[in-house]
Amino acid sequence: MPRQADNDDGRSLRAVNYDEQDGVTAPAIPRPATRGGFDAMAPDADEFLQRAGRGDTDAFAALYDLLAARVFGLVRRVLRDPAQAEEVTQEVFVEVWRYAGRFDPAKGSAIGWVCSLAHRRAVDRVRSAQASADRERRVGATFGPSDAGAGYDEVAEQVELRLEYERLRRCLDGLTDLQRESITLAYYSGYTYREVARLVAAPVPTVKTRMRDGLIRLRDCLGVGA
Amino acid sequence: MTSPEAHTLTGAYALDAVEARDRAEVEAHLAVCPSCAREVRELRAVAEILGGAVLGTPPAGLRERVLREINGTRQLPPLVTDLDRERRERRRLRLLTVAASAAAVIAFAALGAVGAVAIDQRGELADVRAQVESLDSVLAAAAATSARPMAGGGQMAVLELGGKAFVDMRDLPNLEDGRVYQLWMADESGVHSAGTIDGKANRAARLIEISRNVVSMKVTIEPAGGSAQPTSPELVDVPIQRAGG
Repeated sequence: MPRQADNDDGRSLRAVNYDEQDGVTAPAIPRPATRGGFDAMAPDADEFLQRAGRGDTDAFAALYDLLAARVFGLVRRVLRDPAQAEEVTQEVFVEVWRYAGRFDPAKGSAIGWVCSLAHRRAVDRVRSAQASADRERRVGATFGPSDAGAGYDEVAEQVELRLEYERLRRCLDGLTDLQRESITLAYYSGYTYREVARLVAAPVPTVKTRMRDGLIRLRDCLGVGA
Repeated sequence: MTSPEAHTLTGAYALDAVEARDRAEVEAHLAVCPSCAREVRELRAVAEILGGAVLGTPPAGLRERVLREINGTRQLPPLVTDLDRERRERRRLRLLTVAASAAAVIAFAALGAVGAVAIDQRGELADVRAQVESLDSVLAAAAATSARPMAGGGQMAVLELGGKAFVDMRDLPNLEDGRVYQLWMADESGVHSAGTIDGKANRAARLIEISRNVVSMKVTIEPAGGSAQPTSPELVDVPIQRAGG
């Protein structure tokens, strides 16, 4: 690492000396394991993303290999259309590259950072002007409250059968129907809470609250957080 | 939007289920509500797990297209957020109220912790990280009072600590390939190299042993590997202020 070589003049205390390229205090100390064992690949992703932030294209390629299936899977789930999903996935990774220098590992994991960027972009696309008229129709007419549960069934179908995600399924099953529908329709189909309220024929404040208390219940069930 | 309203939107916000207007309002609220910000972080971690549950096989050729596109795409420099700036400003104000020598004592006590940090590296990693970060903030805040702008951009602060100089350089502009920043110690006899800093670093900190004769720290731009003597004009010259005279 260059930062080691820089200090080889022997006048320096290694523990204090460091260079930063992303505005983060980052002495060469490995990060502790991430929460809950959900992401064994998290430390790799963090390292690859930080290196990508310094212009390392090999590290960026490694990051792509690690996360492409997640990003594409999530984006396609929200957009439904494989061609659009491919386009958005490409945009997401290029944006990851552009902003990699601004990733701050003190504020969260690289996987979380990439994942939430991908989700936001997918949702932006699905809500874009082109799609909105179409969606309005669907929300208003085609979908009725009885169809709302479909969101969850499809998700359940696609949930990977890894042990960790078995746990997620169990935790989802522990929610009330309205909590589960509100969360899955919002997250996996990209609806706003107002749209979800119309879909499930529930008052807007109720849906807002169910999203929050449902997520809190999931958080506790999954053992996520501080 | 009133705070209680923004409060109930944390779930929808974490799911990206808010409209742009709501999003801005929630974010404004999060900036002033640490417990809400914490809740959002936790709920986003749940969303991350929901996201990890749907995998897909990316189309063939996508990898190549992405890698080709990034090769022609410029990266953005790291961002100093308002929050960072505020935090730094607060630290600075707090430390300004302490006499310079007292600040040096605090920083020096923290240095003791660093010895332990180096030894404990294999042990409590999270603690170590927190200690190093708090050490950095103490040193950087104490040094900040001496910060000087550098020609061409960036700033450098120097804090003398009983025979060592803590050098803190920030907002350094990227140098062209093959160029590095080089630190120099100046005394009556001339200048002596105190090591180099990667030309692409945005921030760098060094703890350097200095003799009593050193009067200031300077920086120049040099070819990779550094020079025996400066070959370009100095960017900054920060006098050493010795605590306790």
